[in-house]
Amino acid sequence: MDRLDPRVRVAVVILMSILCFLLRHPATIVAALVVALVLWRAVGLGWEELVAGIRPLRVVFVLVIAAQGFFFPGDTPVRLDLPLLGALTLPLTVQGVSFGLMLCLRVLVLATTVPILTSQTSIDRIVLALTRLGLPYRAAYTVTTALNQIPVLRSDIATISAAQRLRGSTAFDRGRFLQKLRAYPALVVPLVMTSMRRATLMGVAMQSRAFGSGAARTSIHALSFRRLDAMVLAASLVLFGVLVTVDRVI
Amino acid sequence: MQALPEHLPPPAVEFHRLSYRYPGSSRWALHDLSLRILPGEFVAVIGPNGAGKSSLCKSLNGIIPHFEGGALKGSVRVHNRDTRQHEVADLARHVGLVLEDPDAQLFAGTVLDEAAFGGENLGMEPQMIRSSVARALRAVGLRGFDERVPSTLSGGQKQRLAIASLLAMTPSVLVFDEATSQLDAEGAQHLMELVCRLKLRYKLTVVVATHDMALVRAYADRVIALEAGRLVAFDTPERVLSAPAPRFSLHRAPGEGTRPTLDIAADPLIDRCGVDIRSVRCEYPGTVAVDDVSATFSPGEFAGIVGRNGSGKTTLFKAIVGLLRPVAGEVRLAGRPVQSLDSTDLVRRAGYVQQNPDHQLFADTVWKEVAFGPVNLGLDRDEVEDRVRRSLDTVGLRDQANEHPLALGRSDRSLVALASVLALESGVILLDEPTRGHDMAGSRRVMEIACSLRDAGRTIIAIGHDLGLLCEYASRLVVMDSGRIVADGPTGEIIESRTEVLEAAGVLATHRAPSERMAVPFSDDMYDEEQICG
Repeated sequence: MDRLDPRVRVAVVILMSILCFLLRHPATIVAALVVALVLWRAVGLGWEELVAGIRPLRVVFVLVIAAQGFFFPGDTPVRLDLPLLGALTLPLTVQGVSFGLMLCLRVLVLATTVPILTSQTSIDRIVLALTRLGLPYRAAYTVTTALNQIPVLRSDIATISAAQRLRGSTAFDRGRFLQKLRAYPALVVPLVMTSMRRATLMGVAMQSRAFGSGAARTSIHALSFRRLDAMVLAASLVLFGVLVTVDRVI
Repeated sequence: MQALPEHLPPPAVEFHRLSYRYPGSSRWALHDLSLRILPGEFVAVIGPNGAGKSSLCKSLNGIIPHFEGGALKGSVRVHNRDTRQHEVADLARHVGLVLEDPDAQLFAGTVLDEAAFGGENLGMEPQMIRSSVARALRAVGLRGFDERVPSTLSGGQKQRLAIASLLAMTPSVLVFDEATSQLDAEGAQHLMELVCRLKLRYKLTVVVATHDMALVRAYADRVIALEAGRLVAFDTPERVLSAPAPRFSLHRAPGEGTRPTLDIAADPLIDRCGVDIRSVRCEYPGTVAVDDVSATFSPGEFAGIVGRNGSGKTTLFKAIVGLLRPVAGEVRLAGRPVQSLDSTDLVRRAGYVQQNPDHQLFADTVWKEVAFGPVNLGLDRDEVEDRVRRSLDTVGLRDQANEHPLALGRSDRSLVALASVLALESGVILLDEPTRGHDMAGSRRVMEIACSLRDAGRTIIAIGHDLGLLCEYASRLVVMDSGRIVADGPTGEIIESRTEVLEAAGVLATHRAPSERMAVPFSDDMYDEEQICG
């Protein structure tokens, strides 16, 4: 998959993102999700990573479904027939709940699509693709360097919260909401300050390696659009067309 | 300006009455500096923290003034190019700057992309970049690492990659700003040997800012000694440095008045708080970080732990304070298993000063920062004030109590972090590389503080890379290698009779003067002379 032209990757991710918002029928969105999952495997990502990526979204999903069910205009209340308690009418509408479910499905498709962009390829190839597609180099590099920094930030957060816990702060572990909020600066200030110090140093290091020189930037990675790329792109476009058409018809 | 003697080649670097002031500062970081560095020279830059070493380094490739801003008087010329008239990117072809923090200077996704970054920015032909990158990676011993992710490399490998990524732009001057201070003794030695080899091979001019005098003595042709931004000496190491001290001097007597005396309320729990590590094994996914380690540390003891980076020292500390649950064995603090302690009980038993003070400073005054722990412990106001005052007195920052911790210099920030842990008045105090970021005087002060704490009946365990310094203060030495304790005993005994263990554990740096042998590169296929000097 690394041999795939990164521009094709970018195109595929853009197409999938458009689909998320264009499709209206649950069946076609589920189909899009299946496509995304197939791509997920095709670029060499594992199921554990998928679960790890989606797990934090659980709460959001429940909240979205509940909120939509409660507020969305609709008139069919949700009835549950429970074996012992009898029929139970919830203050949620069927229309709202199904709208909420649809929203969650769309988010799911997006969440499974974006990692496809960066897996099994170097950030630099993606930057190259983005710049060839017209994005200014500095902007493209800013985005991808930021992505590269996520693991560093994560380890910073672990170190900082450990340091504060060892100074007797229990707010992160079992404090109440307000206590947590009050303890927030102890976590956020060191995080922001360390990141800013590192960013400044990184700026020095990048300039020292001629970043921003007047010369037209070259790249050691040649982008060649090959048959495999054409096939993947064509297949994506056809699939895109099919899903949109089917969605309009049913 | 005096004329150069006829027989000298034109200088590689020339400072002419250089003064520099950082934006927003009223103090000159560099003051009226005039000197010439010859091509092919190895020049060390020494001086206490704040003397201007880093500013001097950054002025060589134009980071000062182009990136930093501020006011610059006089001039710096590198191979006759005035740094004010050339952009940093432009100067990158001639001067390479290696920084202290390996993580901050690597940002690409792979080793290959990292090393190619400079050439790409300069708009070099892809084919040329590939060949110069291949040569540079080979020259630093990273052949075959092309597709590795930089963040997975060791500290020494990261610094070598940083060097390779500069070499790929074929500079003629390489500048190292404390580039070895985050490496262990062995890593520092290997890095400097590599630099010497590169220097001899390519006739590079090398400028190294450092606190490590052994390194200066071994490699430097000349030494620039700075103090408060002024040049106090520029001569051979023999003339600038006093005679070398004996390699290890044990059990240093306390200097008069240097060791702070502590008055700490007696606490029966703390007074008998030792550490008991029983067959502890810690694992990270895929690796065993600490393997079957047993040791007991008693109150009134000051033990030093030495070993390579990655030998398990910090992991052991994390197990002692319960940040990491061992997969086997247990740690007891004052007789109770760590995992059974609640937060307050744990903090009363053990305090942990981490390497980087910036990972914990957040308050808007030094006083509040130090008070954070005692307040968390639920102490009453008088007690909190008492402790803060005592801790600040101990580290000597009483006068800075109302300043913003983040506005202080690196060494003072470390002292604030230390004070904020001291205020917990824990029985055991763990110090993870407590002298990092300090100059010699600062390092000694930190060690003296540790000794006072020991004298007050605390259990002190310190991780350190400066074996010489640790030996002067710690009465016991624990040597770790690949997750195991390979030697543990009185410092004198280990230094005198376990040299082979110390050597195998990579904690004895033996900086040797560069010889012709070093000119032999990793591979014969290296740069052409024209490419380097052109």
